[in-house]
Amino acid sequence: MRRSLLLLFAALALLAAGCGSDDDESTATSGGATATAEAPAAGGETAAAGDVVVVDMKNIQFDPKEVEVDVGQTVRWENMDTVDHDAVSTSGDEFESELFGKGGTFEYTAEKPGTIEYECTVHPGMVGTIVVR
Amino acid sequence: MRVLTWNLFHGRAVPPAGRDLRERFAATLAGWDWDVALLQEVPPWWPPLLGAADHATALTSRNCLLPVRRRLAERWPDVVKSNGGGANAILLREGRFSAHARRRLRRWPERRVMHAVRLPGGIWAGNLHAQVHSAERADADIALAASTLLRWAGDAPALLGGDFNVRRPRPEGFVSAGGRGVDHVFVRGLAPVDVELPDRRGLSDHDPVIVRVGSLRA
Repeated sequence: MRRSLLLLFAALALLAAGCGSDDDESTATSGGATATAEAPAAGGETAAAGDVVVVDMKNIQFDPKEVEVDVGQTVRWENMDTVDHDAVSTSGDEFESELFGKGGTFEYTAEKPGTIEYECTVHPGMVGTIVVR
Repeated sequence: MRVLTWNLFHGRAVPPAGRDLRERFAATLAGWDWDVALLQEVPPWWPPLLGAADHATALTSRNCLLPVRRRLAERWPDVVKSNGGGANAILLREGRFSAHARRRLRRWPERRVMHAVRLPGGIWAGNLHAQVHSAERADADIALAASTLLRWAGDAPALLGGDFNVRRPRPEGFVSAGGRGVDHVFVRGLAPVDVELPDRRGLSDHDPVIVRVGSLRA
């Protein structure tokens, strides 16, 4: 028990101090090579806000995995993770974001009805669907 | 020759497994067909334990007080994450390296290193994990890594693989042998043959990429 507590304190100290340089999961780094480096919407909830439907990128998944939008509506991806992501369509209408880091966003406006499958090209299994009505 | 490149995500899985996964990673690596493996985001104490005939390690970042970090990372890998320490590693399935060289690419904002080994037969194999969150810095790392590796290799064939942190890297002097996302292998003086994406079995957050390369004269 005492040993576990010591380890826990050491963990907290290391996490707090960030002793040394950083790697992929630096919590101090944000933005980067993002086309739209704006802060995420407050709360980051996945819900339609006006003409914008927000898809969070968190825990190396798209959340929600599937959204439905009308023609003319915009989908906005917001990266909540500390690793970079992108959003690239694999079927249906075509779009392709750059890689972007925490706090970065990418938007796509639906132009015609249909189903679009997309993925993060870095992270296998991180896929999503847009149904355009 | 089969070349594997794989970012090990600091020995973790998606979704988090909540435990140390070294043995699962080692078993998975053992089950694939490769001759040389270029690994990034490797817990620094792992390379000698992954069952290779020879290995070379280059420490990258967050490695001070490493014994403490190791104890913590082994117990709570998904809490400690990359704070457990970081390394790049090159594994050789059979035989021994005849040389190992390292080049620090940058100190800031994160320490990045390219390292390379001379394989049996004289081919040089370089392993890179370029800067993240900045395509401009990643491109600078790639350029420096490529020129350094070509200098080390001289007239010998060379390959450069790893996590380039850009989707379409263009290391000068090399041609693409295959890749997925930001994980690629490039060659100079070798012929790309084919590419395979083996099943990562839920490990890491990157796909492993295995490229087969041959002699230009074959």
